[in-house]
Amino acid sequence: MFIGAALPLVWLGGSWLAGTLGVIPEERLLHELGRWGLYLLLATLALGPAFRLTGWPGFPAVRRAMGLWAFTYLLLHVLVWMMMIQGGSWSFMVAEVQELRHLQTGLLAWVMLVPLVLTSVNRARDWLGRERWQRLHRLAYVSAAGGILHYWMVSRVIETELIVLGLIFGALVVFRLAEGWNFSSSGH
Amino acid sequence: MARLTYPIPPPSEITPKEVHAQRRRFLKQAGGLLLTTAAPLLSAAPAWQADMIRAPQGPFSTDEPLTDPAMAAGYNNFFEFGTGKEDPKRHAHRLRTHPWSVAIGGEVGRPGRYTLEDILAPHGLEERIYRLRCVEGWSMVIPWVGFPLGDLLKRFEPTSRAKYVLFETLHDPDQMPGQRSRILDWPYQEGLRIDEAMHPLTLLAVGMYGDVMPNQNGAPLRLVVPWKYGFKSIKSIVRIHLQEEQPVSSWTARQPAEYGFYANVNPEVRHPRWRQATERRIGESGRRRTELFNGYGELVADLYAGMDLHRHF
Repeated sequence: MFIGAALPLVWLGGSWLAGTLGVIPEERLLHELGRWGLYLLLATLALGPAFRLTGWPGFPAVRRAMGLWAFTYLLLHVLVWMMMIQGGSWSFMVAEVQELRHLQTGLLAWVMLVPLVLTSVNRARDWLGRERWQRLHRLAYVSAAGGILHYWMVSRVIETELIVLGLIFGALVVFRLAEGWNFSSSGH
Repeated sequence: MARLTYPIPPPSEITPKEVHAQRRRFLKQAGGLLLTTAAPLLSAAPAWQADMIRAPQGPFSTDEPLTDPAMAAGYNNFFEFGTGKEDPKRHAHRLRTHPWSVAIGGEVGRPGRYTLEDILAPHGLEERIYRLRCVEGWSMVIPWVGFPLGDLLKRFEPTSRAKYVLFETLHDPDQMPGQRSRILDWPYQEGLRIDEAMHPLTLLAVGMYGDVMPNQNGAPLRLVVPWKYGFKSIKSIVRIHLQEEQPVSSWTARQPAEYGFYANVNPEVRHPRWRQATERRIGESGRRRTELFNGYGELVADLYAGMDLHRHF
């Protein structure tokens, strides 16, 4: 898992240093970080259903680490936007965020992940109590939805990748809802 | 409203005028050298291609530093070859630009299909260094080689009913693999009002940087309208149609709320995806302020006198 999640980052870092990210490397870096962050976020959400379907304990075992990897990519995505695309200028960043809906959406989706990261340690889970912790961590679904919405809003045309990501997310939500319904109907 | 500050580059970062002039001189000399050594080899190419190197400097050129030609030919929007910025460079070799013909029709006295050679024959080519501003918030400075569109239109005798000009790009998914996906309604179409089309700034270009137009930049014949967002400057043109009704541009058909018919560069008119107040000049770091009509207001503002530019965006 560690290798799989770190690989895109290593590739991006290497390409950055080698100067093979194209004419405007920071733009490519921005897009790739966002893309892989979203992939990893969806993959993290898919670990639950994968465990339910297979019963393999390896899936839930890597959930926290994978979620943190997703956040790391998206943190870098935000930092590249701030420091490279906007040149670190607060007035530029503020003006852009005030005007553009896709930035507001993306930022909100990212900020939602912060409390999840902060409560990712065992101590926080104990302190919150399992039920409250779980309810809080359902924000990951909202964040993923926001991420896909952000991707859709920045796209000039609807590309296949976006549709596939949307379908995957839809399937995850359906699975989750069906599961919840099963639990409640069985008096869980 | 937020007050903005704009980073002002230190003088050390601005290309000194002497260096810039030196580069221009070098290009001219290199061009001359190329001409004398390569002229025998060029004889197989159409005569207009050899003319390009000699193209004299036309009016309205800016003296701003040119964009690196590798960037101008490596960072493109040409969805016929893919939606990535570097897709056109990768795939445009599939386009066959010779032989090429253009159908000129509609409200003209002499409609017909004309070969590229016929179209170019009476026109002297000249170099025009124009700013190019993309709706996506980036810009370049490109030395085009071409001739005024107005000169061409006059040759075919527009009638009094010719109020607009419609342009169309080649439609051939074998040569343009991007046309296999239905992201836009192919063929790509663009349009100008007749006075915009006849304006002396408006060019038909066949080359850039003193050389033949790279396929990914719209070979063999493309439009250049420097005061409008780049998508108006349609590439690889096969049809020019004069008509009474206002044409619908491909991007307007796709997203009428985002892309208007006029698409004049305007920092005040918002776009939902990109902030238009500033732009990134490719090759520079940081962003610069975007000018109304891309800085060509003195020449073109009269075309829009009395028009609400927010409504007619």
